[in-house]
Amino acid sequence: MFKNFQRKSPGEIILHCFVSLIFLAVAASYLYIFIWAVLAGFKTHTEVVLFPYDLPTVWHWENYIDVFTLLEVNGNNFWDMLFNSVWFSVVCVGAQQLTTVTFAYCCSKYTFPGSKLVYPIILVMITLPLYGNSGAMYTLLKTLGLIDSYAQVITSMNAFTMFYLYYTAYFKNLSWTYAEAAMIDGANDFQIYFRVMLPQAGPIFGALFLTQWISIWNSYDSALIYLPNTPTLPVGIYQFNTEMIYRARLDILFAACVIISIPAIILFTVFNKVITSNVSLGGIKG
Amino acid sequence: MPQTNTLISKKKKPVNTIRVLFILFCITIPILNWLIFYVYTNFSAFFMAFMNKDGVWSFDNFTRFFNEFTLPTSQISEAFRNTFLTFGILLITFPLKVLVSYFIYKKVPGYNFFRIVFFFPTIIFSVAVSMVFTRMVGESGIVSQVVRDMVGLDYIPELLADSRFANWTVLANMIWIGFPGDLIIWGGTFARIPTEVLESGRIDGVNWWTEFTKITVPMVWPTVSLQMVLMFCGIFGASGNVFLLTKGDYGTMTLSAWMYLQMYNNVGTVDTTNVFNYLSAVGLCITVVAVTISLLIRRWTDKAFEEVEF
Repeated sequence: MFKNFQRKSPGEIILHCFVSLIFLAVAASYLYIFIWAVLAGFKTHTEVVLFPYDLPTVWHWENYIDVFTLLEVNGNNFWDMLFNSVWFSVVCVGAQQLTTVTFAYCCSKYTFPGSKLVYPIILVMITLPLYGNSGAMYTLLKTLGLIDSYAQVITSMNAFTMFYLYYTAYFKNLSWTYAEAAMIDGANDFQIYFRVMLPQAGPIFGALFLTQWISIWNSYDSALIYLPNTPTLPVGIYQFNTEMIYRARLDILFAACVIISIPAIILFTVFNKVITSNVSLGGIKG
Repeated sequence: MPQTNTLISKKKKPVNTIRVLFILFCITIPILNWLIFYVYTNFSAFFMAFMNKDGVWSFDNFTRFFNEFTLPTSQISEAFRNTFLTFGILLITFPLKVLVSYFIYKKVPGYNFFRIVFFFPTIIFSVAVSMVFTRMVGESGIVSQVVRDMVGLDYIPELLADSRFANWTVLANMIWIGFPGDLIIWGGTFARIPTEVLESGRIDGVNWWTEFTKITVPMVWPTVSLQMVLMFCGIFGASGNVFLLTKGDYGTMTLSAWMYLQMYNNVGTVDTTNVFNYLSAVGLCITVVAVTISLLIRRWTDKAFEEVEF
């Protein structure tokens, strides 16, 4: 751990140790929250309320199994909510990223009427956020019958986002020679894209997919409005919490929180390198 | 020579059906999606802003907004005050967040551990974090007990249900959760600094402070500039975790929480027209100010997007 100190001045070493201590305090608070939730999942409901900072007197391992049967909201059980969560995180994010990468590729390698306008339009959209259109959006989705519908996935096929800038920059720097070679061999535009160019964008696609997936997997806000009766797991937990006046099971609630966080933690830890080494927003002057 | 010209143009433009099909395949869905879910909804919101509850053209929504806006005790003016306060705090903490990524890049002791744990607030979902946090600052919470001793009360305050503390508690939660900043973007940016530059500086006897101020900061400046621009453009979205922590009660309302609550409280009800129209009108007023801000910093924005690499 201390091998990095070899070439540092004493002042720098003191500063780094000091910073490290502050970081440790913050990291400890994050871990504490997580451990607190894990322990709450092992207690009884009464213990969670009366002795929130003690260890469980009896470790109720069965809570973590009971989650799968007891977590029920408005007639949706755990497995329904899991399906909804997977659908609206994996399928929606997949659709969004595929639409964006294809659109960005097309705009950066081909010219068609309006192709030069896309980039400036997206820049304006990013820098001029419009507020208060959610009422209009809700009305539209209701008219189209998309509230509480799995077909809501079509709303996420949206390429006019920040992701477009990442993919465009990627394709700009990607050599066109592979495509030319494939063209000489008689490949058509579809084959060039799907067999040659898209696979090369794999790492950046994976990294952007994963970051977006984690945030959608954990988010509740738009699902709570647009999918009230098709709850995803975060929405389910939120509703379970608000309905608890009638059936208090804080132990089940926190056990569920822990179980739901596990897929994201595992994926993040495994793919940490992929995420952090492929997404970057830099600009080095030198 | 007109003859060669026609010859070239004849040769040059064989219509490539497959290419046209491919381009259509790539652009149809995103453009339709953009037209329906962005252009249409925003136009529709614009018209809704000028409709009263009977669907007749009027300025009712705007009159109501200005009346509420000028009344210091109304929820809307409270939301404006808190949004600016939140933005101010985001602005102050911004350099600190960049420093967090900088020190991890500089490999302070334990940097590999921090690189994982600092993602926890993003990975563990916000509903869970807020529920645990609410308990920590509640009646029997450990944080509340510390606050009692500091302020010198003779009872344990419920920090999120007490107008004296609620807003600062929400802001403290935001600072705490947001402490690591955007590790992905800043990690990637610092990693791009060529090591030779720093090495040669070290050989020339540059100390760490000079290295930081004269080499590192100027090199990452394009990203700093872009992030600042994006922050100013999103000023009216500045908000802590208001919805999950207090639902905007006890003086904690912000604009984005207010707009979200308008939706959340009303989508189940029978007649939402008036609520949606008023929401659209307030949104339009905010947008006008946001556009002005965006235009004022236009030159800075253009430069920032030009210099940055994705």
